[in-house]
Amino acid sequence: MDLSNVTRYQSAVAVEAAAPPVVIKRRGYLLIWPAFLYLLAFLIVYPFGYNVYQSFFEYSMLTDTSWFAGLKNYVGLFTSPEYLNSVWVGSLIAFFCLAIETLLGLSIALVLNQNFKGKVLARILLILPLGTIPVINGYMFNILFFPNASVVDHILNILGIINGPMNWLQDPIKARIVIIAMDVWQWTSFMIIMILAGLSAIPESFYELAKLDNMSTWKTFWRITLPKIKFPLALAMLIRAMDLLKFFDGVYALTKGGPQSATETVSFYIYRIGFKAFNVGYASAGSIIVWAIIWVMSFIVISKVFAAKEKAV
Amino acid sequence: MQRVQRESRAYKLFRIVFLLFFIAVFLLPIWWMIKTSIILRVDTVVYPPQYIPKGIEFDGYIRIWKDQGLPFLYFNTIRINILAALLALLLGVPAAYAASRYDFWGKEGGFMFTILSTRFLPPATALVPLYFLYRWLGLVDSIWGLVIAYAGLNLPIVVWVMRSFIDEIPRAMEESYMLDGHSRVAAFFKIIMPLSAPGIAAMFMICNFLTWGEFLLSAVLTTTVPHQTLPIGAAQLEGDIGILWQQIAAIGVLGAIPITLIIVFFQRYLVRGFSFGILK
Repeated sequence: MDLSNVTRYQSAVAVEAAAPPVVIKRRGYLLIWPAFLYLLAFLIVYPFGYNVYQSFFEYSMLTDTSWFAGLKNYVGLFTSPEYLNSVWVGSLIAFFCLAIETLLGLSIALVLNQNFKGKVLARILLILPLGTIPVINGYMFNILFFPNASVVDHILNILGIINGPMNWLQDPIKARIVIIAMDVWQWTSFMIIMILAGLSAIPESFYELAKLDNMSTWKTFWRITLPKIKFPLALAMLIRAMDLLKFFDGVYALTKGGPQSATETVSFYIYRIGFKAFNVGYASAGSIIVWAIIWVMSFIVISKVFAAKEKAV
Repeated sequence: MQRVQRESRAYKLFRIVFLLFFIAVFLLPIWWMIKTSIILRVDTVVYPPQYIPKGIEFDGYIRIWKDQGLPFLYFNTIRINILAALLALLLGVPAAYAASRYDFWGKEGGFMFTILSTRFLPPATALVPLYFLYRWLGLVDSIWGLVIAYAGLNLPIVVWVMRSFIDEIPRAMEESYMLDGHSRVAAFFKIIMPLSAPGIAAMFMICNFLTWGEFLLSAVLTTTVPHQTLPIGAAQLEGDIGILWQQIAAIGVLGAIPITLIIVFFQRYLVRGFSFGILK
């Protein structure tokens, strides 16, 4: 790439402070509209409108016709034990995943942030789960927890923690534990790298001062480290919380929502009801409710992001 | 904690054990995937499990190549992801430039907020509408359908991260270039583009990482092998007669290689991509 222009105008940076920035207002719109319209069309206005519309109709895949149903879908949904179950299961799984990922991610990141031999290698090995395909992880965890041939059972038996087979995937509670274990396995790495980014931004001098003050390691963590990584930590947790609402691939490959819909998340419910049972009206009404939740949550996340940006500027 | 301090021997030992434990846990499923792809078919699911395979065969790889259309699946995944990343960059970089350099009504709270909010919508909620739209447009079971959808998934991140890259380029450089009689468009191509090239390259990689394993949309929007991606190819190996573990694991290994390379070599940019350019 031709960088001659770049180097020639680098000197201009020095006089930046002298000249007020040129602000041209109109043309900004021209550049931002394509991206904005694209997202608006494909991900917001059209899907939202369509979902709203369909949620008031009943649709038959057989005859490809639909008829007005009023609020029937919403009433049906809110009284449907299946939908309420999927909301409950989704929140339960999300809560435990988030709590465990945060604690593990924080402890591993704190250790990885120290100086020791093999640090770079340890760091690479610990982010490898991010490089795998989620749906295939579902199948691999299926083998690891396979009835009567579970690798995890074997290891736990050798260690003397359990005795005999656990039959993980047949029991509702144990199946949830497996689903949580799978998500924790893949996404703790995400927490690690986000927290490491926060940790690396803390100037060394802070710790030197703490040492001069004879602060204990524990106190240093609470008084210096944690307040400094509060923002990246909160951001990472919120991103994870939102992504957990999308949880689908692993559930599909591992349990198909079973046993007895013990692991059916909201995304899985919408998929099953819309594309397996062809109850489009229910799926649309369910989507609308999820959107409402997401919009409230994303409003919180994004206002945090804006607050952080303003602080940075 | 980069400080130089004397660590006790007990702590050093603890650290080694702690890290080795988690490395072992993190690598177990990955090792199992590699192992399952080459172990003898009769030994895929046995008790006690074989941690090191007693015999190996490459049947899984041969079968996915011959019977499951691996060349199609792989080529589709690559081309869908690359096209989606390019489309997202094409739309996203100008938007990022506008967000960084111009000041206009509704910029932060209106445009940028809405763009970022799409990052959080679960694809499941857009599934029904997209399916019917695609059926009407004839995009069901076409790679373009997925390119369009994936570009939408990438776009919010591209706009936000590229904005943070362009924000780091001093305004004075393009302004003095413009004072020399060049247009803003020329300044964009001669100053902004060369300087943000590393960012664009990194963003391209991150986009590929983000959509590589996407499952739900492609499961619903594609129906035949010539248009499907690797994750769907793997899921279709689960049939009435059982699950073809060897083949699934083989797809998993081959599918993990490119994104693993991306996360190892673009680690620095990963954080930036995950945090929409806020954390560096």
